[in-house]
Amino acid sequence: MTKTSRLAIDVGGTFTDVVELQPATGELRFDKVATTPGSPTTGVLDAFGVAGAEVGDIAMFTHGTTLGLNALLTRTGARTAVIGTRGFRDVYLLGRTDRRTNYDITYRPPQPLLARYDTFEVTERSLFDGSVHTPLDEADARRVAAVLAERGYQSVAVAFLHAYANPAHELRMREVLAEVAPDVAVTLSHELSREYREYERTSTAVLDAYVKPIVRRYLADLEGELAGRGFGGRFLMTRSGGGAMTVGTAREQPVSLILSGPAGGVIGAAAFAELIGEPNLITIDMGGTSLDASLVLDGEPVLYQGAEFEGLPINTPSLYIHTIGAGGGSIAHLDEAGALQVGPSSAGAEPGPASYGRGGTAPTFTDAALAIGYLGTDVPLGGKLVLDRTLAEKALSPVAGRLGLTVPALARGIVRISSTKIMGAVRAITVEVGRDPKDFALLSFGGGGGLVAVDVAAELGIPAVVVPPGQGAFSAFGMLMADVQHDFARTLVAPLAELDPAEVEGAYAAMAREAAQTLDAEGFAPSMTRSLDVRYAGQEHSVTVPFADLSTVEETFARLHERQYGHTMTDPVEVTTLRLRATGAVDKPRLPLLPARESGAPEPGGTRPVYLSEAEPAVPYSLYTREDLFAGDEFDGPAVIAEHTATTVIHAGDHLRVGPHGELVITVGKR
Amino acid sequence: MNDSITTEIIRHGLLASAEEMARNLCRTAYNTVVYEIHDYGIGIHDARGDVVADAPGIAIFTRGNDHGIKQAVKYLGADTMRPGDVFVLNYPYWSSAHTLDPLVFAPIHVEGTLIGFASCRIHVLDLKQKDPGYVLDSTDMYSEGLFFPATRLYREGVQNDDIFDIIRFNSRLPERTIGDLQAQVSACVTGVRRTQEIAGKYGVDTLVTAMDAINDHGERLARLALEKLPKGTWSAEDFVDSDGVDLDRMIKLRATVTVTDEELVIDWTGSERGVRGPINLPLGQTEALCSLVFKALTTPGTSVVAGNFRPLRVVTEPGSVMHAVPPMPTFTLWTGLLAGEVVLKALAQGMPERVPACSGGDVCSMMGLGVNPRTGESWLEATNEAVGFGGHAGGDGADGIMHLSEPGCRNNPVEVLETKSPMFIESYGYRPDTGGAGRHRGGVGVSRVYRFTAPSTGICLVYKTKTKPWAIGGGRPGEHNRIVLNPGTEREVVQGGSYNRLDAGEVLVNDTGGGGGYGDPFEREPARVARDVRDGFVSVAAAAREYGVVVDPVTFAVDHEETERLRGAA
Repeated sequence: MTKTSRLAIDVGGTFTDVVELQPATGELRFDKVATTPGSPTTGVLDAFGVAGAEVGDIAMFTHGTTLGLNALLTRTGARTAVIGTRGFRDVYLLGRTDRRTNYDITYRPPQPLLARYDTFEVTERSLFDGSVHTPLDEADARRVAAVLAERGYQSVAVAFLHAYANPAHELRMREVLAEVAPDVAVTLSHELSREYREYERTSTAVLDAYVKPIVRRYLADLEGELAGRGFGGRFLMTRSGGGAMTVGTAREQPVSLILSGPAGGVIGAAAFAELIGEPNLITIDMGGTSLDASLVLDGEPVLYQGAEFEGLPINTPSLYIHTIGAGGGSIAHLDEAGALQVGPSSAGAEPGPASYGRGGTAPTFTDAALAIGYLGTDVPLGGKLVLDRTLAEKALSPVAGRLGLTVPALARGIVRISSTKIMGAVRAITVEVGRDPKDFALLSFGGGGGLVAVDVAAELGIPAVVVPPGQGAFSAFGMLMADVQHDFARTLVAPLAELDPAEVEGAYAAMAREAAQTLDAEGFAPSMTRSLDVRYAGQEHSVTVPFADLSTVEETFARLHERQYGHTMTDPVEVTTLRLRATGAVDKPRLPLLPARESGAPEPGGTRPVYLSEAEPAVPYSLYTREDLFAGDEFDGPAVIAEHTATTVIHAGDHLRVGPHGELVITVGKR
Repeated sequence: MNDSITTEIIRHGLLASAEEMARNLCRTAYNTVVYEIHDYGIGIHDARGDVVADAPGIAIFTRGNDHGIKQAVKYLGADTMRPGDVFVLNYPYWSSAHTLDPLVFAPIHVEGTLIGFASCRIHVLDLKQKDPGYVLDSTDMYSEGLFFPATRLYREGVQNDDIFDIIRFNSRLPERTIGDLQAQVSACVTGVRRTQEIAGKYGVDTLVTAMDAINDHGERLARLALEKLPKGTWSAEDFVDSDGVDLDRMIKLRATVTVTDEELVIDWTGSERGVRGPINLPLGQTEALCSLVFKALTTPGTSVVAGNFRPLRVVTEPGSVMHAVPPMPTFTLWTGLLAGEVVLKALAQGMPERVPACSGGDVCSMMGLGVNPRTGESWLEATNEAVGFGGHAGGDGADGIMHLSEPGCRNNPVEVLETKSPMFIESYGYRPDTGGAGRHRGGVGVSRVYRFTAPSTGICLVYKTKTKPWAIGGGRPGEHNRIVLNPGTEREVVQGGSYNRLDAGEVLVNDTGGGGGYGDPFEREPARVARDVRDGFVSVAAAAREYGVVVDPVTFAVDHEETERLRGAA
């Protein structure tokens, strides 16, 4: 029988989300199993167990895991060495020598991934133009490799100066290591990043090396288990740069897994953007401890080069995601001088908000949302957890007492302060790309976003809010939409006017050949897009410009620069980096259509009294159950829409319409 | 809505606005030091010029913009400032920094009323100071560049072309200097617009009330912290290598710190007077460095607001190195970077458990410039260099971190310097055995070796090479900073701050100092000493000599018997 089923498994900190799609019927199934940190493959196999399809019938399995991130957080990665150019063994530990805290006079940096004892150097030296100043000293290379083998390192990052311009010495070093220290996993800096700045490239390579043995072991175990169960479909992993990669790529470049956690949601958002005809989306994904904000621009997720883990740079293109400490569990407290603060400390999932009744006593955002009536005690969260209003009010009352406020007045303040912080995050990401929030729709998913999304939109002049179906598992849904992607880049610093078109074409063609080979081996027909980074000579930061041919680059750059910075200049323009993205398209699932209502109109199941101010302490909000809504249903605010895993609130003046796929489309009224 | 909640919402709005100004600036500025090392100071201020929200930039600019705005208002009068005006101020005695750190600021008006200011200070590259890059030996203000005594770059929203033309025809690097000033203007305009939006939403009166409440709250936080500090009066001295003109005469800095229940007073009386060279500090800069130390002691975890500093009083003698008056030269500014640690040195006597031993003590900047033979164009690249931090009650000092005056700074990468200039970096790394020994060791400094491949100028800005970083409680001092020219050759010179004209092939070494140690080194656990030896931060010889710990050079095992013998003999 032909394999048709598609499965996405997204492993989170507490739960593993499963989404299954039967293309024949278009049916989507959502489920959850417990995450098993001690034995990561067990949880994933459990997830296969709850799927409807037999393992052998699964055509495509897309997987997201926090394995690499957890190894970093707990410092339980491989025993890793780093090899640099003679005279530069300290590039990695020195880093950029900055500290992020301005007034800490006894600052200590975060615990490093390796010690100075683990840093080595080999006699060799290339220059910025790719020429060789000092050839690789083979004897020295062998000596270092022998020390690595003797000391029993599991993994090594090789990062030579200017390897982005001439990788020959790194490539040769790998051969020497394969011969002398065959048990050590090797990462070469230029294979992850072809851009200058030695620390950023070295850091990327070290992070990759640090997680590589663990990831390889995990993938080998999982592949073995799945093969034993008859799995014969395609196995993809989500990547931090958007899209997906094959298991083979994940083995070679596991650094791309580290920040892939929120990626599914952003990929899903891009797919959703097309589905609902809104090419520009701001996404907010509010979880228990934090909120991730990201952008979809012209139907594509926005990428950037500045990703970090605990201040350690990852110099590969990453989805542009801004995280702030504003989640459902964010704790409200008074500082020493009596000012109200919300977050960044969080009650997390355990004990969780006071109203969960699991022993938490600190007042949280969720408790505040319950106290003002956004949440209720009438609909169980996730079908199980009934919130306890008494516990919420008990947790809020000491703070309210100290501020001389009623409990609901304090609760309203907590929700407003949270909205203000989220607004700041949304504004920051749009400013960074030179856009105005007004040009976007706001896509809200995750547990708590729907409570404040409309307020955030109203403040920023965003005209519409969209809440997708299955918002609690939206990230796993997004994984089903992920195409296989590879990003290539070459540093090429030269004035635009002096660029030789043949040289540019040659560089692109070389990347395209590599891309085509890679995708061909993975069984995809490639589609390629070319772009290049351009700046005014003397400026540092560049603008990525789509590339058709050299004659239009300057004009396109000027237009994008004007949009991003508000001005253009008469200075000469220079190119810094050529980029190529290769995509292998997977068949996209079609999201099922929600049936339309046969007759009548949606009826609220009741009302919730919502506190707006001391003057309006109990405004009735119509209460709808999302699962009872049909495509095309419409109603005006004020209303609360409760569903299995989340709640959405709209206010007087807002209008809600249910889209064809069950998405809630909210037109934000004037305040 | 309750005032405290409204205030908190407005505070977040103002902070987001300041952050937006910084993002705007970093992405538009031309000058490497702005975006690579975050060399900026950005704020939103109330109508008095007191900062209510800032974007963390360079710590030594802390609250310096307040002083500049206040002086400008005093000179011009607030009623002459119109909506859409944008000013530039770099007259050092008012602006609180040297001529190349111009303060750009714009008044914020709502409904015709002045309610505050948006400000942005960065380092620009050239305003016709006597030497390209930096000035180390001026003897009066007139050789330090063009002064703008709060001059309109924009008048009611219209660019003042005359001023831009003057800069264009005077600066050695006109495009980049003007580009950077325009980036500052753009940041300020953003700050004005966002603050006006907040006023539009909550009402002018609510915004103004919230600004006051923000500063009152900042004051309460500082006073609560002040209550917990030990009370008393302590004095300390340290020396700047020279004033840049009379190279053999060290310049005394003397701080007397008094902590009472009501205030913390930093009194610079007794510091050198009549200093000829350009290391004199404008008063605003002295206040800024005192603010930096006070903030670190009292409210390090919250963002800067002017109210934090109400319990701080700074006393200076006009005409002294800590309070320049016209026409005293002020260009080098380095005194400000060194002086903060003199305050900590005084405090170490009264509260040794709260302050670290001295760090390497300097920002150790190297600026290279010349004509690049590859392009035929002039080049200028600079980088500050990390130092070792001092040991403290809580642990070892960090190895190789930017000086506490400039924490947001980042070093300039080797690959960037080599791509953009005819400099070849021979090595860059830690400097073993430079951290002062102690129960908690001082961090080690770093070393960067430059070989110039074309005739160039190498300007070294380092003014603490003659005194060693001090220790606390029986620790040993750290190794001091130094600049070495052509090491190991007949032309070798060991020196400090200097303006060096170098031929192709010459070598310049920037060696930075280690931090002082904390506590008796013989009390350090031998295993930790052995680990330092294994990691190459401490040599086998120094382990025995300084710590009394005998470590095997191959296995890094501690010889306990010999160790006890060495330690017992002491």
